[in-house]
Amino acid sequence: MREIALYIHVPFCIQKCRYCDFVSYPYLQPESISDYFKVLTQELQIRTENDKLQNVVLKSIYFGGGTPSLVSPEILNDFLLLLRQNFRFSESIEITVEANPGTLNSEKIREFAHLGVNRLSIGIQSFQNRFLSFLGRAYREKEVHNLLIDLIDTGLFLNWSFDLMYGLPFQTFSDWKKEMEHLLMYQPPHFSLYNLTLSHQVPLRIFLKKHLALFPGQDWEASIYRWTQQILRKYGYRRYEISNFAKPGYECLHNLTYWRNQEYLGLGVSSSSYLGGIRMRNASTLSHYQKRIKNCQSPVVTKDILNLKQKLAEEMILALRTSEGVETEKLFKTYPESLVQEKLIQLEDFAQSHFIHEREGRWILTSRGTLIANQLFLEILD
Amino acid sequence: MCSNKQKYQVIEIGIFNPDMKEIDSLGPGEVGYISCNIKAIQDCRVGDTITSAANPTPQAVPGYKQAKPMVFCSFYPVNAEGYEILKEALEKLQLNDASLMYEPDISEALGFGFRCGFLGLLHMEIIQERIEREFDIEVVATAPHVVYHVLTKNEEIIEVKSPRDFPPAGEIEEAEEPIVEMKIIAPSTAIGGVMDLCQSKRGVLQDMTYLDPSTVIIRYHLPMAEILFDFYNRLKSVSRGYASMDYEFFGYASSNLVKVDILVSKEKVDGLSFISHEENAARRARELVTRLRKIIPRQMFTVTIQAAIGGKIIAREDVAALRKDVLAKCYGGDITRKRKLLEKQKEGKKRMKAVGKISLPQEAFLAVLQTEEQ
Repeated sequence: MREIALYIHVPFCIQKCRYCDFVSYPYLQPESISDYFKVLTQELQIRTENDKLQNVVLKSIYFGGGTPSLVSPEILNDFLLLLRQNFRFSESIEITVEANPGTLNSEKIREFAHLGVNRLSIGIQSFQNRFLSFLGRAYREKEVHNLLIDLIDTGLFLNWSFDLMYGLPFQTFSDWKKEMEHLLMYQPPHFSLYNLTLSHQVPLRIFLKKHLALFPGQDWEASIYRWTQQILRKYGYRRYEISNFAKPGYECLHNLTYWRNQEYLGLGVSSSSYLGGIRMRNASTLSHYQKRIKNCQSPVVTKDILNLKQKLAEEMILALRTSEGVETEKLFKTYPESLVQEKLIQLEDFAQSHFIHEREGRWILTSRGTLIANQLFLEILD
Repeated sequence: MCSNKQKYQVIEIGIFNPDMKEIDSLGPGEVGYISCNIKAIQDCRVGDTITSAANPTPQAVPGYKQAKPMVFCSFYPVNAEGYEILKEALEKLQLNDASLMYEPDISEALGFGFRCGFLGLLHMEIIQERIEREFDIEVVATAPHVVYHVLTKNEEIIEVKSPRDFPPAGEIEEAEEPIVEMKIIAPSTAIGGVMDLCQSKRGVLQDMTYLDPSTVIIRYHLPMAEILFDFYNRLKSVSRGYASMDYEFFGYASSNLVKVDILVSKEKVDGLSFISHEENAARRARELVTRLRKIIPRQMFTVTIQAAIGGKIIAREDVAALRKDVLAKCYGGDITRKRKLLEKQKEGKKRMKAVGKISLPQEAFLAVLQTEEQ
């Protein structure tokens, strides 16, 4: 059976964060979401046909955004029903909804759980008002705690996650210790820990370009990262991907699909898909996306067809992000021997400098290598 | 032509009246022009004596000296397309300025360009200005430098035009650098400042004459290399703008010259070497090494930057290894975008020059070429 993951982009937010460069639109009225889901329904039909997905099994569904927690339980229910009519769900299907504090109360949490949503991913970023307002997040400390308490009190979600950022401008070690205290107080089964990345054009970048010195810098980050990792290990967390930590058994199935270079379908404006070895991307503005669907056209506007060498490099880069690492045998099965050999020489070179190590036929980043992974990826990519 | 014994047929003789007016002959004391079929501008030097081929004069008019470039600097077009235009510009400039010399040059940092020789700093500035104004191209000019003479132990004389030509210390019998005779006219109140300046530039005082109680002429012998950087500015500043200077080439004099090599992670990088007087070598080396530390980005490995004379390290700085990259999430599985970001970074890396496992940005090579005391 062909198993795929499904991603649905919900591009509406109460307020746009200052660092965000994802496709999102202001959430003005509930109709904008219900209208959008009508278009999504149509896209599902078009894509099932075009990409020949009639017989696939869904192993995970991920509502990302944007702020998917703005979607009403009724709309979500209709959409999940539609998915059930079109596809088979795997036994252990993981259904995640991303949520932002201030958009979810205990009632909605219950309703989501009843619809079959079994994982919540909460965009917290920070437990401190200073940083929340700096980043332009639409909620404050209080809403964060309210949501987490509601979530734990209802007891309906065993699998949930939140995001935290580190290395923010003005952040000190004691600030970070506070974030960690909160993290350990709630002990989510899964969480993401990552850097603020600013692409061009986002307002925060324009401001910070002149104030680079406000960032604590890589040496500071490296030391707090080490410190953090030591503590997390004591609490039973494992880093299973560059920016993701989980207690055993709570790794995010959906995200692992990406790193394992497996197939996924992305629905909605600007979504990405990877089907039949081809990476695709949907139209990136809402109007363009809607127009194409209304004309019964596929919303896919870019297709990226890679040659074997590029594919190999991409697969290795993705696999190296995880603690599973690169499996040599699998590479030999999929790619020409000469190409793989060439790459293995590179890996051995990295191993000599202790950036990666080999364990039972798999190449895995060391903690030193993890911290400078991008540099290694640059070498692999050529 | 007395200097090079070239013979030409005279086609026309004339005077300026003020337009050109053809006449039969030019006599003693007369000023005019002659026209012949001279094809190469180099054959026709300013100050030369013209004589009759049938009945040549045994002695040329005294005072003629062949113009010899003393100051060198390389011009590179800002855009690669500018190379052809620059070449044409230099050809045209040379047509009415026989003292301009140029030859093709290639730099690791700046690509293709021309190495040009000038009579002095003013000449260099004029040519640079004319290239930019008359031919409308932007050029990058490297720091001016001089030509050194090196006598090797095999009694060979090498003209060192770039650090590349400088032989290893063991093979050098003697090295010489060009010296100028500098005349500075300054108010007597500025004598102290002017002398301090010249002394710091390795000058040797020749004499000092008072023009009147408040004005003095000070004569110094100074190494030419020392007046190329920051001499005029400092002279003006120590004399509150009143001093003026005039110099001419005096000759070559033996000097304690050394070649300083830059080693990046133990590997010598040719494009970063420079020649300096031993006295200044350590200071210049430290300056350059510090500047390089700021320019070279942190990489996977610690980068050591060392300056060495022969086998002796005289300065060192380290660029700490990169400890941590930006660890980002990957939203919505947009792998293509991630790959493109990496590819873009890779492009940037490709533009750098690889030295062993280290990548050097172009700015590093510029650092050694451009004027130091900025």
